[in-house]
Amino acid sequence: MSLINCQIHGEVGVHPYVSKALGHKLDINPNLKLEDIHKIRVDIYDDNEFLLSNDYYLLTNEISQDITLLVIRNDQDEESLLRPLMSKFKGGGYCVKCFNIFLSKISGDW
Amino acid sequence: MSKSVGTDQFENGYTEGHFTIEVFYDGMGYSSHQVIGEDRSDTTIIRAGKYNSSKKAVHESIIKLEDAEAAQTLQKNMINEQLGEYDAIENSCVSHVIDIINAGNSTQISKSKLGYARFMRKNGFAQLPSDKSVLGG
Repeated sequence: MSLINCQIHGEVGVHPYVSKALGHKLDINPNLKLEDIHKIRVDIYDDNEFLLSNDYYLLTNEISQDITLLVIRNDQDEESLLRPLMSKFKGGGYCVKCFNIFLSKISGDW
Repeated sequence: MSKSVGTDQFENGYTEGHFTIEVFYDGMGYSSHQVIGEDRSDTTIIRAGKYNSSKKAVHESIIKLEDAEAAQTLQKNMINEQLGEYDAIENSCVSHVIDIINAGNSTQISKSKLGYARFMRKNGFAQLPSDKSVLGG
């Protein structure tokens, strides 16, 4: 959902759901471990019709580990459930290629 | 194509891809898109003609505008403006597209995740099969 000029990959897509704190941490230490990050799946419905799903990535210390899924079915859900989370993603986003390489590396930690 | 807007979705490695917008008014098409600076501290809007012609869009939707002049004026006013940090809802390639469409129409598209998802569905845009998912997903 945008483009960035990555120092490694040049003009490339952005992964929009990497929190600002996680992005800064990755800049400093690309060898973060699986236990350092937390993923929340956000499913978007229009009432009962499924529209789309995204994975949101944060540092583990940014949010309760109990939250792993948010289901948004209407504007009220978005306001009460998603809006508070989105504050952590302002100034976030990361080179999609760099982030996918990172995800591939940590998936090997299993 | 007069008094209309063309919105293109491109593959960019992420599931929603990248969106550009071209407003047609008075015989001229003017295209733009949002990009992020190298250090991620700022964003801006740039002309998208070169990008559009160098890539193949995965989907294009043509949308009628009530006031294409207003939409194109906003586009031109946003070129090279410093727009601050990236935000998927408030300041992204999709929010730019919605800003321009909203400038040209009285019926406003909601600047929210649900608003964008409804816009995508209504205009035939879909998630692309490129999201990388780990951590039990």
